Amino acid sequence: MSTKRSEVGVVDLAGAGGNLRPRVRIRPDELVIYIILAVLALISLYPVFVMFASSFKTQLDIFMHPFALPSKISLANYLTAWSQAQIGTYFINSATISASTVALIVFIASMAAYVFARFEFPGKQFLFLLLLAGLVLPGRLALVPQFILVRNLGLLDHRTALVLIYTAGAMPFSIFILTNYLRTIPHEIEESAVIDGASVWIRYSRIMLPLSRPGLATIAVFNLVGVWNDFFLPLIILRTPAKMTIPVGLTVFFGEYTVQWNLLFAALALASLPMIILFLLMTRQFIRGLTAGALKA
Amino acid sequence: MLQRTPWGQRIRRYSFLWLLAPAMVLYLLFIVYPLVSGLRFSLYNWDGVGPLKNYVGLENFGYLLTSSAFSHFVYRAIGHNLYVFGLTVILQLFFGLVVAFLLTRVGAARFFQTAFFIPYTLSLVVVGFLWGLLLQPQWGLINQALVKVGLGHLAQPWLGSPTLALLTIILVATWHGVAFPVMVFHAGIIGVPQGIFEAARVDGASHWQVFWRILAPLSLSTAVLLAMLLFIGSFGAFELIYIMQGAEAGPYYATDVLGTLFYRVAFGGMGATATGMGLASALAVLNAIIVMPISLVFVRLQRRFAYEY
Repeated sequence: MSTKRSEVGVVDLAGAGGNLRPRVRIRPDELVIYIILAVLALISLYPVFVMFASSFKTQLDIFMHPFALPSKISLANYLTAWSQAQIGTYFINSATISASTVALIVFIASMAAYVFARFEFPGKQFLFLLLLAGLVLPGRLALVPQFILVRNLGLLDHRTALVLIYTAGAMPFSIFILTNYLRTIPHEIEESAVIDGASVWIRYSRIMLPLSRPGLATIAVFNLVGVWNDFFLPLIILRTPAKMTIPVGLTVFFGEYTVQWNLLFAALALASLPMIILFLLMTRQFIRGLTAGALKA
Repeated sequence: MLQRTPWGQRIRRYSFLWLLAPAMVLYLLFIVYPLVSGLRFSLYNWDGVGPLKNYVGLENFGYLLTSSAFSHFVYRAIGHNLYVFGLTVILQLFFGLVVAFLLTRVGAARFFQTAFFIPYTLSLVVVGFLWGLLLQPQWGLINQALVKVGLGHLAQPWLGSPTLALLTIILVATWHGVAFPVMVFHAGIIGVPQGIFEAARVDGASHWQVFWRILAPLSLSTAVLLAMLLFIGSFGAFELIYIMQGAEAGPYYATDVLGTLFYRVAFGGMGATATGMGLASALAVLNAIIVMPISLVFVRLQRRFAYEY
């Protein structure tokens, strides 16, 4: 799980040949592997590259010279998509909803995980099982009742409803990951604080929270990507275009600008950029966050 | 200490429970209560307007599975879900394991890892729209590329052909999702004690032999775990199909899965044949009844194939 270990692993395997005979040049079998990987990487990246390249082109260029690079880098498409076509509004909605959801998840899931990791109380097993049920049962089963509940609470077409449901839905996974993480922190660290009579809140907020940063990063990334990219919930809960998140907003946008591919590509690029940039900045946390579920199981 | 009542002591002793309260309240209200309601709604013939009424027992399930007006929708959708799973599991496990293995054989693993992971950061909505443009019959890049290299006769209306549409969407989904099995397999391979590979190398084993004789058996439990996640994912499929083919899952329902069917029943689009929150909930329950026992079987299998080092 830990990054250190994985780094060592990669280096070990890659250098396995080097240990026996120092490598001076790439062996033929390695060359074949490089070629296969390069072809697959090209398949992975080319569509993304086309998306960005086309986002700078004029409509005519896209249709006449689909494979050519943009003749000049112009941000005109982005400006039009952002302001005239409301992508800016969707973008800000997505950013606000994602940020508040992730903050709320990190805050309340870490408090709950602290309790699960450090305290015994009647009903603990039952609550844990209840959380497990939320992981095992398909979310689709809850969708219709969630829609009715949101309607009865008067929250239909309110962004708050999304934040609340996302946060609630993130609890099982986030609490499990964090509880496991907190259990690895030695009890001794907390003990002196207990002897000094520090309150539970102080122990949580001053000692455990700062120590659990890597675990918090994992659940933050996992949930951020999930919320930024989610589609079904805003699709059924939001009605007013001015309140929509990017994924639902894109469906409105694609309906309005069907033939203006230059704008469509710019809108797609705008929707993807935040996660791509974040991924490139924190590749390790990203991969760990998004594969955490499978590796824990 | 003396003047404090036992009751007060008890409250003090469990005061840490306040930290648990926000998480549990939100979870109970927005997840547990809806899940239980979902089961209950499935027993009502209710259109979602006004208070819950018209208890019908298991009639909704009878309608889903046996009515001549509607059951063919359900069976076709389940068939498509199974098709999606069958193909996805083959494609993703094969490419996932092979790529993960190749990544451990070369030095520049980090670069390729990053490259393969980028599509996985895109939302399915972006993926659907992007590939919708690339696969557009006249102006899309795919058909234009085929014409350019002299394979113009292979140019297709990929998403407009009833035989190719679902296959095309599965390939797009694999393009997006294959990074996940790659990373999970990769982490698994790194977890294998390196001495095993060293020994194989000393004995003069080829890449091919290392892959089939050592890696494939050792990765079996990971593969079963991934297969389970892909099974759950295949029966949850919705976004790509909704984006690329609309709620009607065209052409002529050729890509209709339980997800799109559920969406139409719950939120409009089925007309008089089938609407209502009760029926939609029954469909969601049916979906869960298919997914959960089979997931359990996968979990059992995974345990059996797990290796301890």
